[in-house]
Amino acid sequence: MTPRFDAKPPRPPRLARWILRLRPLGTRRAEVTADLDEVFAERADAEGASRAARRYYHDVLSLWTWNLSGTRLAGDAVQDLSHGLRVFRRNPGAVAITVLGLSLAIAVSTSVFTLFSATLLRATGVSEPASTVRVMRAFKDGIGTTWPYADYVTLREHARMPVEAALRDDARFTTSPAPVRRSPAAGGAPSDETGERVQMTFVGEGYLRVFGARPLQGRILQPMDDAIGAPPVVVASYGFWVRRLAADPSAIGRQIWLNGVPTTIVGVAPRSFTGITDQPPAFWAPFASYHVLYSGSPLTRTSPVDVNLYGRIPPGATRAQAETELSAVAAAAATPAPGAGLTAGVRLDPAGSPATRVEGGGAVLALVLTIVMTVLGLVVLLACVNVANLQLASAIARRREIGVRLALGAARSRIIRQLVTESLALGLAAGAIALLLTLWLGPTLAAMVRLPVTVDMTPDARVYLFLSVVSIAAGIGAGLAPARHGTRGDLLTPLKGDGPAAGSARPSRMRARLIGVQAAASLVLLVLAALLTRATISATRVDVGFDARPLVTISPAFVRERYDAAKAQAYWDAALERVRGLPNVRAASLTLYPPYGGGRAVTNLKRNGVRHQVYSHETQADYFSTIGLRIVRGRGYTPAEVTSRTRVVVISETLARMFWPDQDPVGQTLAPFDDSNDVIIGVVSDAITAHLRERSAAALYRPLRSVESATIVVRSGSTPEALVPALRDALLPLDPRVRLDIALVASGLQNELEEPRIMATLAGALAALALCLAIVGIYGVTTFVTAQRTREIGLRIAVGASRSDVMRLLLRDSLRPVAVGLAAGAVVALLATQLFSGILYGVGARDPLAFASAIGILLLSAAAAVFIPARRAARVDPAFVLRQS
Amino acid sequence: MKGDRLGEFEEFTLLAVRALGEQTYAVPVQRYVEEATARPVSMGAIYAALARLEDKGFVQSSMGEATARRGGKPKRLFRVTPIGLKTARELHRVRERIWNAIAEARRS
Repeated sequence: MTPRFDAKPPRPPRLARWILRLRPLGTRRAEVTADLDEVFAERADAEGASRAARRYYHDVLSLWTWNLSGTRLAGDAVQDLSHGLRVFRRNPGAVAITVLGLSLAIAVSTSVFTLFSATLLRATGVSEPASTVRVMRAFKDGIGTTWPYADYVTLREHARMPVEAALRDDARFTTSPAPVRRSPAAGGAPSDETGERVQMTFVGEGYLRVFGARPLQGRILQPMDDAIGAPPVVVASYGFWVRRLAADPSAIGRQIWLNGVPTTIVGVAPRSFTGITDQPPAFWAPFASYHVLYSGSPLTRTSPVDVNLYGRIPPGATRAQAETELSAVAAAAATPAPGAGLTAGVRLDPAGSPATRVEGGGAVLALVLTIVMTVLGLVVLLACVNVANLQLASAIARRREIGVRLALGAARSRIIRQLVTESLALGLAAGAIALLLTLWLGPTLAAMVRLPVTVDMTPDARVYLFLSVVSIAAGIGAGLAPARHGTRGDLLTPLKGDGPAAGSARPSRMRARLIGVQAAASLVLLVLAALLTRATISATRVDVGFDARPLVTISPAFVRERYDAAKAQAYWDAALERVRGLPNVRAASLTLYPPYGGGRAVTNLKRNGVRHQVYSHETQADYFSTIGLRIVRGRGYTPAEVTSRTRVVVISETLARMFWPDQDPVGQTLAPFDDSNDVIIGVVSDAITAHLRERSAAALYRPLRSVESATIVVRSGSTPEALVPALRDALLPLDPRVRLDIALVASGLQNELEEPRIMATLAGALAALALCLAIVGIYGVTTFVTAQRTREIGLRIAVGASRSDVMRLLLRDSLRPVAVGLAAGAVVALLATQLFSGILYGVGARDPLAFASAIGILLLSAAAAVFIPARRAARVDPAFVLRQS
Repeated sequence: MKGDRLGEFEEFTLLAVRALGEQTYAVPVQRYVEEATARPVSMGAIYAALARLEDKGFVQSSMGEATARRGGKPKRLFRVTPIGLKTARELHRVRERIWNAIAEARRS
C-alpha cells in the first residue's frame, strides 16, 4: 500500500504503456495513466511484479470496451466482429472464395484507376495552372500548334508576358560512353542503335522556373546552361530518376551519355511536375544542348526548327488582353508560314490542368472517366453481389439465432448493425488483400499498355482513397440488403425451429434479384469485350487501300540550318538516285507525311457552311505508283510540275464523291471550298495513311514544297527488312552527320493496331473476371437454394416425380432470374455501347454477333453453374430425407 | 439500452462508490468491487460502469486536487447522487420483497 521510495519501484511493462498510448483517451489520459500506475504499484507490492504486469496488460486492453463518447458503438463492433469471425469459421470455403473475388475486383479496378489517375488526373505540377496558356498560331484557315524557332525568340524578347518554348525529341541514353560512337572512318554519325530511347524536352532556360518546378534534388536550369558553348546539362524527371537511376541522390552531378555525348544531370524535378500538356519526358535540357546532342551548330533565328510555345498571363491581365498584346508582337515580326497563309494572330488556349492533356479537353476526359468508372463499378458490383449472397445465406441459416435475439428484445437496428459489421469486415479484408495485389498489378498493367517509364505509377492519396471508399462501400452495400431482409418477418416461425420451409418467398425473391443483377452486369462487360475483340479483328482487316508490307521509309533528320531548300533538294536527288540503284528496290519517292509515320496535316474544306476535315499531302510525282495507288480519273502531276511547284492538286475518290457527287471534278478548282485556286487534275484511289481510327480517306495531294522535312518511301521487291542495312549504307556517305530513321511501314501499321488490341485485352480481362464472379455467385446461390429445398425434392420423388422432372424443375427455377437479368443487361448494354462507338473500328455498337456470343457464353456458364448443384440435389434419397424430417 | 435501470455490475460499482465515502476514485472502487465479488475486475470495466452511471445521473464526478501520493497526477473523484442512492435502495427493496416471498412460500 505504501509506496517504497527506498528501492527503485517496478515499472509497468513498456509494451503495454505503448499500447495504452494507442487508445484515444482525450482529456482523461493523465488521470487514467495515473490510476493504472497506482494500481500497478499496489499489485506489484502485494502480488509480485510479474502478476502485476500481466494484469496491467489486461487493464490496458480492457480500456477499449469503455466508450468515452457515451454511445456503445465501438464495444458492439468488437463484439460483432468476434461473433462474425466465429460465423465465418463455419463456412471457410465460401468466405475465402467471396473475399478473394471481391479483392480481385477491387484490385483490378484500383489498378485501372491508378493508370487513369497517373496519366489523366494527376496534376501537372505547374504553379498557378489557371494563368498557364498554350500559345497557338492562328491562321486564316486554321490553328497551328507549332512556331518557328525565330518567332519564339521574337516573342520572348518583345512580349511583356513570359513566353517559353518546348521541343520534344528522343535520344539514346546510356550510362557509359563505351560503344555509342562509331569510328569516324565508318561514317562518324552517332549510332542510333545502342542505348535506351528516351524522351527529351528541350526548353528555354526559363521554362522550368516560369512554370514553377522547384528542384527536388540539385537545381533546375539556369541562364548559364542555355548559353552557347555551355557544357550540356539536363534535369531529370522524377519518374526517370526513380525508375532508371534508382532514386540515387548521388546521380546529381553524375555524367550520363545522350546520343553518345557526355551530359551532366544537374537536378531532379519534383514528383508533381509532369510538364505542361504531355507526359513527363526523361530529361529537360536547354536549347543550347540541342545542337550538341544532334551534332549541328547552335540554334539561331535562322534555324528551321519548330517549337511549342507556352506562356503565363501576367497578374491582373485577362486572357483576351494577353492575346491582343501577343498578336500585335507576332504580327510585327513573325515569319509567314509557307503555304498556310500569313499568321493572322495568336490564340491562347488554357494549359496546365490535367484536362488540357486530353485531346478534346475536359468534356472528353469526363466521358472517358465516366466510361471507365462505370465499367469498374460493374465489376465491383458483381463481387459485392457475391458478398451479399453469402451474407443472405448466412442470415437465413441464422434465422433462429436472429429470431431468438429479436424475441428477447434486441433492437432491429442492433442486428442490422451486426450484419453490416460482418460484411464490412469482409470488405476491409478484401481491400487489404487488394492493396497488395494492386502493388503488383499496377506496374504489370502499365507495362501491358506500354506506359512510358517516366509516368509515376506509385499509388498516391487519390488511389488509396479510391481503394478505401470502394472497400467500405462494397462492405456496407453488400451487408445492407441481407440485413434488411434478415430482420424482417415474424418472430415466431424461426423460434418454432421449423427451418426454412415456411414462408421463404421473400429471400428467394431477393436472391433472384441479386442473380439477375449479376447476369446483367456481366453481360454488359462481356458484350463490351466481344465488341472490342471484334473491332480488333476488323481493324486488322481494314482495307487501307495499299499494300504496306513492301514499303520502307527513310526519314533523315537534317542538321537543319545547314540544309536550306536547295541543299535539301540536292541531298534528295542524290539519295533517291542511290536508293533506286539498289537491287531489291522497285520504286522510291518523296512525301511529307509517309503512311503511319506519325505526322499528318489536315486542312478544312467548307461546303454549304460545313467544314470537312481533309488530309493534305505533299508528294513527288511518282508517290502514287510507289505506294500502289491507282489514278482513277485524269492524271497525276508530272515531275516538271513538282519542280515548278505548279498549283495543281490530285484528290482522292472519297473526296471526289463528297464534293462533286454527280460531276467530273477534273478541271475544276478548289476555289468554292478553299482559298486556293488549285486546279484538280486527277482522282486517285483511296488510302488510309494517318490513323486507322480516323478511317477517313478524304485527301488532297499537291506537289512537294517543304523538301526540308520530307521522307523517302521505298517499295522493295521482297523482304523489306533485308533492305534496311543496305539503305543505311547507301545513304550514310552522303552526309555522315544526318541521322537516318529507317522504318517499315508495316510496323507502323502494327502500332496503329496496338490501341484497339490493348483495349480489347483490358476489356477481355475485366469480362473474364466478371464472368468468374457471376459463375461463383450463381453456383453458390443455386447450391444454397437446392440444399434448402432438399425436403421438397425428397417429397416430390417420393410421390413419383422422376429425377429428370426434378432436374428440369430446378434448372428452370434457377435459370429464370438469369434470363431476366440477361434481358435487362442486353438493354443496358445496347445503351452503354453507344458510348464506345468512337473506338469501335468497323463494328456497329449493336453488332448482333457480339451480343449473341456474349449472351451465349453467359447462358452456357450459368447453365453449367446451375447443373452441378441441381444434379446433386436430384440424386437425393427420398427415404433418407423423409426420415430426417 | 437499459434506460435508467441498474445492471448487476453497475449496481456493485455504485454501491462501492457509496461505501467508500464522499471522495473516492477509480482505483479504490476497482479494488473494492474485486474484493467484494471475489473475481478479477479490469479497470476498463470500472471506467465503463462509472461512465454509464454518470450518464444516467447516478453518480457525479469532479477533478480532485493533485496529491503528492500520485506524483502530483490528477484524479477524478466520484460521489453518489441522491437519485442514484434512491435507485439502489429501490432495487434492494425489490429483491427483499422477492426473497421474503420465497421464504413465505417455503414455509407454507
